[in-house]
Amino acid sequence: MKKSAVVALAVVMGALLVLTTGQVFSAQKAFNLDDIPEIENKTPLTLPLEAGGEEDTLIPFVKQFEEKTGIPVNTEVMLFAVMYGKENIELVGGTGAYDIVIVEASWTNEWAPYLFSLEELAEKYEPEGVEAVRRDLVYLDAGLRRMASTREGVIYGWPYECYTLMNMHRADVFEHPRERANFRRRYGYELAPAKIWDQLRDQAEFFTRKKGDKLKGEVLTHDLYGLALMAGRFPHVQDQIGAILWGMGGHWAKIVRDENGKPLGFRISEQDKTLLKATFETYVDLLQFASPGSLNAFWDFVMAQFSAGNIIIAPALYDSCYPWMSAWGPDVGPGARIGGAPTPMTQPYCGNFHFAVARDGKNPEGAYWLAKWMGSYEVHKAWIEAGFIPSRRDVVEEPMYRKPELHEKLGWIPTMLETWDYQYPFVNNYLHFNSAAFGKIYDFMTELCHDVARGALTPQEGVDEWVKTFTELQTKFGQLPVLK
Amino acid sequence: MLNQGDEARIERLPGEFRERRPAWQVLTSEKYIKWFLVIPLLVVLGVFAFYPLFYCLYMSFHEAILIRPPEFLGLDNYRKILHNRLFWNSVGRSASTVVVCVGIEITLGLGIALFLNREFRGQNIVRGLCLLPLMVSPLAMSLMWKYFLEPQFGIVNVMLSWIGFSQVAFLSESGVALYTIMFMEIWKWLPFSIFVFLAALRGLPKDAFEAARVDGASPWFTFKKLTLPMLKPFMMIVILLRVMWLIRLSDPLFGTTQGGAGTEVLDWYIYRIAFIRFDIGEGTTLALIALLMTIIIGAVLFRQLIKALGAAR
Amino acid sequence: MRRVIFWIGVAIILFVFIFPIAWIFVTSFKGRTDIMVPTRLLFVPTLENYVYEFWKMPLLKEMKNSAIVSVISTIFVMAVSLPAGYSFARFNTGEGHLLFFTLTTRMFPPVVAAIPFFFLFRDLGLLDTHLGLILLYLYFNMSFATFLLYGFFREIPEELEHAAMVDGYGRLSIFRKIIFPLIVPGAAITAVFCLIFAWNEFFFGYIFTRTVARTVSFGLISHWGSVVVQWGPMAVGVIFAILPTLIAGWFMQRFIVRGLSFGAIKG
Repeated sequence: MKKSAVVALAVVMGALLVLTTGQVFSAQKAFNLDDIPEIENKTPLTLPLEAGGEEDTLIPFVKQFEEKTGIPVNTEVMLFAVMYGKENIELVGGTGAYDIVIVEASWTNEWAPYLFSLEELAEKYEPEGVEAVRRDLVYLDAGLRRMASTREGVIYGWPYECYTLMNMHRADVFEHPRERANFRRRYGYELAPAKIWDQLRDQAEFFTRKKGDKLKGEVLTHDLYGLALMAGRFPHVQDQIGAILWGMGGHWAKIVRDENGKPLGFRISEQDKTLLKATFETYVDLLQFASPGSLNAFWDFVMAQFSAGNIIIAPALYDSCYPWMSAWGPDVGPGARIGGAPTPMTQPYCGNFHFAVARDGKNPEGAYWLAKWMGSYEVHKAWIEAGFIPSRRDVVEEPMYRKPELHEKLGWIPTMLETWDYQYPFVNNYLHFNSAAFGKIYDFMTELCHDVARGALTPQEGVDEWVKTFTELQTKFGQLPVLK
Repeated sequence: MLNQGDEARIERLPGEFRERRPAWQVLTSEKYIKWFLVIPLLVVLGVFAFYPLFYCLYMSFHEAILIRPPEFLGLDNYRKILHNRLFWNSVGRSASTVVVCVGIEITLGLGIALFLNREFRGQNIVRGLCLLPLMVSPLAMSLMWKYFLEPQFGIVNVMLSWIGFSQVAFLSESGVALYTIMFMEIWKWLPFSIFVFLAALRGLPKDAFEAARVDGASPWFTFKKLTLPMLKPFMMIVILLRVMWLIRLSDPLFGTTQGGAGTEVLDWYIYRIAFIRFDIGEGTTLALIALLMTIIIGAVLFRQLIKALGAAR
Repeated sequence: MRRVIFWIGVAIILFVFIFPIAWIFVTSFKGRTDIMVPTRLLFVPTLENYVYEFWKMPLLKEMKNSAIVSVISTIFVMAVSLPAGYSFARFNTGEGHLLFFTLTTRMFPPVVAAIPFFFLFRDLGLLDTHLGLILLYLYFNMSFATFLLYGFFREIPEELEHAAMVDGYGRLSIFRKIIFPLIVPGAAITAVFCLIFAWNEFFFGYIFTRTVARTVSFGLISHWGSVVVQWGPMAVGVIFAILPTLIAGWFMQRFIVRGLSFGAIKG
């Protein structure tokens, strides 16, 4: 045997060994269905799930849980837009209807009084106590972990679904030599996914063309728009506007803490007001290059516009849309390809849903284990393979998901990781994850952003309205005061 | 009323029996029967109308946000709402919805009813088909139209593009969306007025029209002087019911704009305050104000209806 | 020539009213990609949406719930509204004020009424039960039913009752033997309307039910997720949400048309 062959063999063996032991090692550590101890309480559980087909992925795992523990689980599918109201009245009313609730990250502070914290539950039900839950939580992204916690840092739920905004664009157009040359001639820099919002504006303007103009040297049979936005009266509009605001270094309202880190209240500084106004102006400015219909749109519209070849850029769209949009590539036109990059300034809203255990449920023990099972490696693996976005880093970072042939489906992973890492230090100060009135503020923000977008309020009026109503809502519903 | 015969019968009953009549007979006696018959209604009203009404009255004077006990505020909630731009905007939208929808439903409904008011082959099938939109649930209707009106792949926009129009974002342009909602409402409820008018037209006395024809009156004159006055009670019924239902418009918004693009009508605003913000104090105040407005409008229309019914008798 | 114009008019009217309903039927047989291309008339029909709705979603159960709740609540409504309508029509009970007050219950924003009811029903254990929803639909339908029946009772000539009284009938037997047979068509119409309204109701069904008693309308709205809109299954849901009422409407059309005459056509 040749020496080089031996070396090669050794290297391969070694690599295999590392990989397999790594696998075995992590499998040992990762929580599994078999780790659930016998549960005495067999009271049936009720689990709400979000509507729209995602339940198809989760229900088999719910069934597995039923088989393992002997606890029947009822699932109730509900629409996201009405989920807050429905869950809220059941929680506040203390009906005990839901053993587990779906909590959007920004509702955590508000609902904390109605929920068990994970450590509280672990202490009671985990054979190894609090340590066990701490060990498993390590696999979650640190930023997402913070979002599932209150402002004091107490974690309440197992994150499952995550959504991160990213910039999706037509890679084939961005790489086309003639387009690049034209862009450089007109704007004086290279055409590349926008790093700042001004660049996005240039690109949006550049690609907004009339029927009969040319794209990639070919005559357009329809009008073309630079981008499409989600400016409808849906929560998504404030995700997009927030991405601009945070990217500029502004805050909706900043949490003020004393030297020990204890939260004192919120403050909207003069700088924040200026930046918010600039943000609104930027957004309204971008809308002139957005395909018509953006004002009532949410993600489905943007996706449809993209797949119809009507737009070039979807500057801030949920990463879960990526596989759909890349699958539609052939419909868009010959050679059409999707490209992904972080949103300009890399600070978009990156929220998630987590499963938390309600205090007035009848079977908190079963609920705890079900929630934990929903947050486990296996479930998240199925989750990502079904085209959704998991919250566990060990799943997202799996080398097997980085294969080039999976790029169409999972090409969003590097962008998302970059965004997660970049925004982590800022998350702790975002209003969303500190105010106990955010469920209410969220709805108002949606309305405000939508009104500014459609021109019912000028940017300045929008800022004034924000300061006024935020102060009102926070004072009425939140626990922390608004500081002058 | 006719109680003499009855009184007479009671007189004829043996005295002893009369004094110890069982409760059942007292209740069904001529004097009490009219109240006896409304007892179930009164019970239902007592529970379902008074209970929420008193709850709302109480809460409207309080800061009530569910997470802590209500706190007395006096008239603050009322003051705040009456000074709120969003509230008045939503009232304005509701008002224009009512005016536009009822106006179109009445004129178009009457027009189509006159058009269909003749004998023709297959008339039952045609009329039966026309009735169908009325059966469709408002929510299903809104989801259906959302699909048809989708700017990208909606059939309506595709059809418009065939005849050379550009895409219209029916549910998103702030100037357009409210009219789209009105259109959906009219689509569903037009059959209602058509059939009320059709039935009314068929019930008109034939001899009066015959006489007018013999006298050589023009069709327009006949319509104006004979048909319209006779249809008035039915118009009032349509107006009364439709106004009341339109003020309570909210189901079609669930499946479409969810209050966006300038379609936040009064009930959607109330829904948002009461059920998304869970500001029970403000929500109940809003409900009471809305109720008061509706009652005033309803009372005026109801009086007109009773008058018209009386005149038609 | 006039006939041609007439039939063109009829065709336009029918197109506007019927095309949307027909089109949603067609859409329900389309697969995912065909749904995005509405004009594609030649497509491979698929039953996947139906399979999804009936096997994966609780559509059947929802339909059963809606049916139970609609029927029983309608019976309750009739029990309340028939005597009340008669009383209003014959005796002018409450000089119109009570009738008007009954009408005002429909003027109260249901969203706000839902909040006290929610807490009341929680304490009574009526949340997510058929009975709870039945009671709410009783409240919801009672005013319109009373109003409609009031109209029908007014059309029954008082002379009939006079005659019966002379014959020695008591009020209750008059109601049972003389009035009731005459009101049956009107009551049937009212019942059909109540059934349709109850079946179509969305908001109470959505707030007051969860899994046990959830209704068709509630099921309908759960196809609109934050990441996906399931147009295909939604089309199937829409069809089954409107089919029973369409069928009822078709077969009861003569009655409905008469009901909408509010008593203008005799007999």
